[in-house]
Amino acid sequence: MQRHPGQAAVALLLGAFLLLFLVVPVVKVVHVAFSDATGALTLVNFEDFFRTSLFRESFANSMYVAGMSVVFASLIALPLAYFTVRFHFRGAILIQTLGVIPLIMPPFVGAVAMQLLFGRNGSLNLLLDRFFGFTIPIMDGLNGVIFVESIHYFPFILLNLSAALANIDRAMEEAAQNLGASGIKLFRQIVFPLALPGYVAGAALVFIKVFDDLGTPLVLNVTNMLAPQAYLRITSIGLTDPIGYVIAVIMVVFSLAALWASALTLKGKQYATIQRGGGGLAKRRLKPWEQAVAMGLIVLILLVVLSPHVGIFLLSIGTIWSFSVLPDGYTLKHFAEVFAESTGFITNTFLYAGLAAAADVILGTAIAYLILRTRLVGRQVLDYVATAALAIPGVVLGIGYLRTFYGVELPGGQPLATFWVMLVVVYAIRRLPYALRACVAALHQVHVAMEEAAETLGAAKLTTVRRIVMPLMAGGMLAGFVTSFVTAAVELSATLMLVSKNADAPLSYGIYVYMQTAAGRGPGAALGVIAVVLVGLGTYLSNRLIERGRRQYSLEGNNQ
Amino acid sequence: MKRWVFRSLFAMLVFPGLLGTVGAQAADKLEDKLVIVTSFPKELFKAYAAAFEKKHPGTKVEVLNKPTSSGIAYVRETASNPPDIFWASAPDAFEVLKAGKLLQKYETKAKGIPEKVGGYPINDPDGFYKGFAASGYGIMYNTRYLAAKQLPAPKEWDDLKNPIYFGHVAISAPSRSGTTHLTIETILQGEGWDKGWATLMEIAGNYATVTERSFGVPDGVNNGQFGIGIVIDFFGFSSKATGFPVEFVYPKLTTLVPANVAIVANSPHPKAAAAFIEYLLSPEGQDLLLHPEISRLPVLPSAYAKAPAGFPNPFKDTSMGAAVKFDTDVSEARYAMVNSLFDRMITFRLKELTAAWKALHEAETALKKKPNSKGTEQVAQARKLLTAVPVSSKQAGDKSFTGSFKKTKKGKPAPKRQAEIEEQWDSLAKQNYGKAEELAKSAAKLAR
Amino acid sequence: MSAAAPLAIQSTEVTIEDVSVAFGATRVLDNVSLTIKPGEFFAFLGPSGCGKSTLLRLIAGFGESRTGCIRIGGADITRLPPWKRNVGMVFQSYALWPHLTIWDNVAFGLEQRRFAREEISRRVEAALGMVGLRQYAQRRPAQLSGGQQQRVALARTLVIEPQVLLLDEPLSNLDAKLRVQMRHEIVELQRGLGVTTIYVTHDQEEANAIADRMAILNDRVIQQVGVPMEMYDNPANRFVAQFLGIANVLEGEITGRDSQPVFRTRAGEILPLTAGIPRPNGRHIMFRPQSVLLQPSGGPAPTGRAKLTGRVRDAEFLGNIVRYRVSVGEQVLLADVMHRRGEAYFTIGVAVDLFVAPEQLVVLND
Repeated sequence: MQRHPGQAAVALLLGAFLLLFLVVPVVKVVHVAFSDATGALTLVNFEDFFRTSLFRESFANSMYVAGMSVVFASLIALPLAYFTVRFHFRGAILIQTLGVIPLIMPPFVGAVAMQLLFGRNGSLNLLLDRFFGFTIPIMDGLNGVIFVESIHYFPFILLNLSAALANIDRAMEEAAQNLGASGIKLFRQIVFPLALPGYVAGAALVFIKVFDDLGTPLVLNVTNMLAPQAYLRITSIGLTDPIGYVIAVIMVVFSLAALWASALTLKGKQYATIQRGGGGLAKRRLKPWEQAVAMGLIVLILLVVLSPHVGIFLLSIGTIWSFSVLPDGYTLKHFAEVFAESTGFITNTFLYAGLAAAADVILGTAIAYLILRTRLVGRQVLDYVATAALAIPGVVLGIGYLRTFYGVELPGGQPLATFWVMLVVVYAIRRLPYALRACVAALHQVHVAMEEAAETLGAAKLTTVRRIVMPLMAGGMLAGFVTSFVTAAVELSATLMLVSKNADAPLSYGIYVYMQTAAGRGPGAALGVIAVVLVGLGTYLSNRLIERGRRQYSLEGNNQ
Repeated sequence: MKRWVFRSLFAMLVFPGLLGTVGAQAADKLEDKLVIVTSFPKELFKAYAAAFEKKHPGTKVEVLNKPTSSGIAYVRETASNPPDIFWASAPDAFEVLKAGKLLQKYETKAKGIPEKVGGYPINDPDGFYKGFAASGYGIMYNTRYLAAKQLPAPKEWDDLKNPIYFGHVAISAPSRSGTTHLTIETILQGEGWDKGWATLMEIAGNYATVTERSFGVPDGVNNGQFGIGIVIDFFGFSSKATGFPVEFVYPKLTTLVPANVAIVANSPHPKAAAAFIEYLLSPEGQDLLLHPEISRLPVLPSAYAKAPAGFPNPFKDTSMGAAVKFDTDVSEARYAMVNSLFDRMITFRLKELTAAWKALHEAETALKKKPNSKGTEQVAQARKLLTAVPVSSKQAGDKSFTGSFKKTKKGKPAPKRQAEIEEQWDSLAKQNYGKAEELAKSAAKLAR
Repeated sequence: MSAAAPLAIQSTEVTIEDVSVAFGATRVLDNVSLTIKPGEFFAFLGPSGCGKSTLLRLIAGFGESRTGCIRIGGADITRLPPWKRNVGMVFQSYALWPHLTIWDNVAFGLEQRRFAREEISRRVEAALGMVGLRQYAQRRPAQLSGGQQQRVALARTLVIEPQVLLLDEPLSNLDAKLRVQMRHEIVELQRGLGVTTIYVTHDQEEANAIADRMAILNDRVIQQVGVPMEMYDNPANRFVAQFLGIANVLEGEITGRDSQPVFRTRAGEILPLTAGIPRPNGRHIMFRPQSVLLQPSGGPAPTGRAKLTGRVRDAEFLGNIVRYRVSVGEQVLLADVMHRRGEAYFTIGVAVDLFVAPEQLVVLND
């Protein structure tokens, strides 16, 4: 074997980073799951878990909700991705941008807005009751969780699928058309299977995310699912309760199993599709009536998925909104209050989430490269460890950080754990799985000959990655950056644990502080609106950037 | 943004001593910084931080707002360089910290504060934490909601048992909210273990939801997602002050509970911390509590002179909190067990429990119209199944039983693992509720 | 394309000694040794899956041999990574980078070698000029036709003045006419530059047309190395004979005295061989369709030729020739007849005689 000391060094570096900032802090907390009352190693806690009917039921509920959420998220994401990639569409980029906004669900405010719109006495049900005399329990029970999770997380599928679709060689599609396939059949039989790596990456993320999500069930007061059970055990019974960690361990294991299954479905399939200059699918112009129908469909979908944000907006400019379809009156004083007090939150959020997402893309690309392009022993471990972060509740990670890094002092005596950079690190760790999946999918689609060509021309691995691989992966990397950035911008649970100075606090903390009181609802919503607008704007601009780049090397403007 | 990073990094590198100079002040002056960990809402801590900074210019107050459980974990994990003040509602949070030797004793110089409010001791008898404001639990309701559904306003806990409120009531889980736990304990101590649980379970039959956060209840009432919430008074008062169409009432059976403050062990700024507590307990500090967005009951009786009309005064209205003599030792000993029992019997099985109660209510209505002895007997049986808990009052007082729910010390395993007991409760709850629903349905059939 | 070579490339010898490659349990190459002379245009020819691409990639530094070594100009490069080998490779898919302009694609290798900016400009200009694409410098790969992309790939590879040029089925993505044109261009370029070139193809016609020498690979090993025409005329074994064009193969045995050897087919026909023919272990002889003289049955027999009789099964008109399939006993043999204007076909089913001169009969190794 040729030795690759460089690759090994990168792998070791990544491994060390994950070990220090993920494994060690988590193990410091989670070891409780494997110890009995005397502190000795045992598996009795796992036995207890599987013997308890409530936990078995919770487990089944979590699986059901995660599975159904993938189904519904796909139903939302597929048409959006298809229309934007397939047709020349006014505002396709707007859909790409608006489609990401659901991920920016500010904590607490989002939940209040959803209740006000879809709750048992929300606007929709009040209207239904008034005009038709019945109501729909949209937000109740497991179905409520599925509803909220689907419209919250479908962008994972949308982003990854769109990136994959955009990378498909037009010839693949043309070959199918030539053989008589067209329309939906063509999409189903050829285009979609070619974009499968992107779809599977997105779907796996949705599944894992929903399986591990804690906020939504808690907000809807659905407690018989795994993540809320773990959280309730850890935060109310105490840090030393083993069952909470048993659940955390089980969630980690199942998240990894989902990941492994998704890797299995892609195994042995050649998906490199950029072979001859890429180009993407042929775009067609729609006839006016088709445009109208498509627009109508998209507006309808966007209306549903963006409704929480509409709700937050109404909340931020409303006076009092209680048991009514719309707020009683409108005012701008909430925004005035927020701008007077909280601009620091905004700059902090941009700084932290931006740095964290940048770190994620770099780490994600490096790991993806090691996984797909090298034969290093144990490279898959990096993937699994990084992805396991999805299943670690933020509280656990936050406590682990305090436990691991509080004793370490910076020059000047400040504990490392309270240094604001640690927030960046914890965001990077928690959101790395998103960027990683996007990077892996993107690299899957870059034909290896592209790299070999660079190498024969004298470019060493690092140069090849920088000059050839990264530009070709740019779409996927951007998708990764956007998801990491957007979700880091609204991270709360670890933030609450680690913020040690108001001056260091990000938006999500600000929203939490406001949303603790009745009077803070308006300003909290205003802060939420600001978060959504700013993060959305950032997403829009980066989409513009990548679109411009893509146009330069795509077939558009081809003169032959 | 970039400049900001650079500036911070620059400061870190060039002036490493900058942060280290904190604390090296003249002996009689306050330190230049005070770090407070609190679960209180912004209106409260902002007002005090601002007033304190005004009174002691030169001391910067840094407030870390965290949920109580995160706050406890934070204090525990940062023991090597802790914050100065822990400031929160639930006395049990302070008990946890005290047991972990994470608090510091402090004797206040403040005068005029009585020993008890509404029968509950204001200060920690061991001198670790001080009460600075009192709050009582009660019922909050949305007037628009009740009007729309044509429901009367409830006044007492027993009113909440009324089937007309089916699906309209909410509470937060006592395991999640220390103050809810006190309400549960108040009812249990006021009515006795068995009767108390019967009341709790019957009210639970009307729950729309059991929220995870204590603020989830007032939030839902404010929204109109449910009409009635079991909440702590200041949530009700401050919501009303904000303009929401809500009202708040104290039932007769309520406990006034002090909200507390304590100095964290090895506080790096002990002088400023002491000054903060003194300020809280001073007449000036107590007056701040009357602000409508804060709305908490001062512990200094003289402060009520400035209170707006209609503001409750527990030192005058002796009925407040007097109906039950709250025993903190009893409450503390079975704290974890009661919370776990509530979660197993109610929180996690709410769907089954409310379905059974609904069937029972329907059967009772049907039987009223068309009596049937067998049906009556079945209903009585169902009611018994729905109001009994698998823990006897004797067990509840047994330390070795309740000990299974406490953090066990190393080397001393509990007699039974918590998980095993909880599994028994859970299967029993599920079985009982299913059976009760069946019985009620059969009774309703008989009355048809 | 301008014939004047703007690049200075040293002709270098490539030696492959005893290399073996396996992917997991699948062996791909077994103990392959080969020497390619400086400046030679060498082809690796073989059916797909024979290991020819693997061998080429091994020279470029992709994949690794468990044994042996590879030398370029005497230096052992076996352990060098691809980017330190100075070996130019043109990929089947061209692998032009879609995000870079043609200019940037070509300049890439020079940038890696840290040439001065002016030098890069000069060389890129020259390389693009050499392939006639100077005016497309600012386009992107997707905006060029297949042939143009092929030229860019060549320019990009040659501009770094590689010691060896490797071409991996470079013409397979082009149409037939363009393929012929491009192969002329490639040969011309190669002759002008004198760069040692290895060309992988599965198309024997292509290899015959352009290679100075070639190696035929099958079943993990090299079957034969040589000049195309010599190999065509004297294939070492049955595989080579059949791979390099069409062969009529007969089974039987060599008998008779050394001064007058004959080949007895299984059907009992006797074919005289030239005297002093080496008698390998082979039990097959081969002759090419164009060596057959086809005559109507019963005509006058030319002297000294072996005669077989058969019936015409069908005829294929290929322009310059007509190819007949003739049933001889149980076998079907091919016979090519030069077509001249106005000449008619043999009718299907008619009885014919096939005559083959002894010097056209090649005895094959098994």
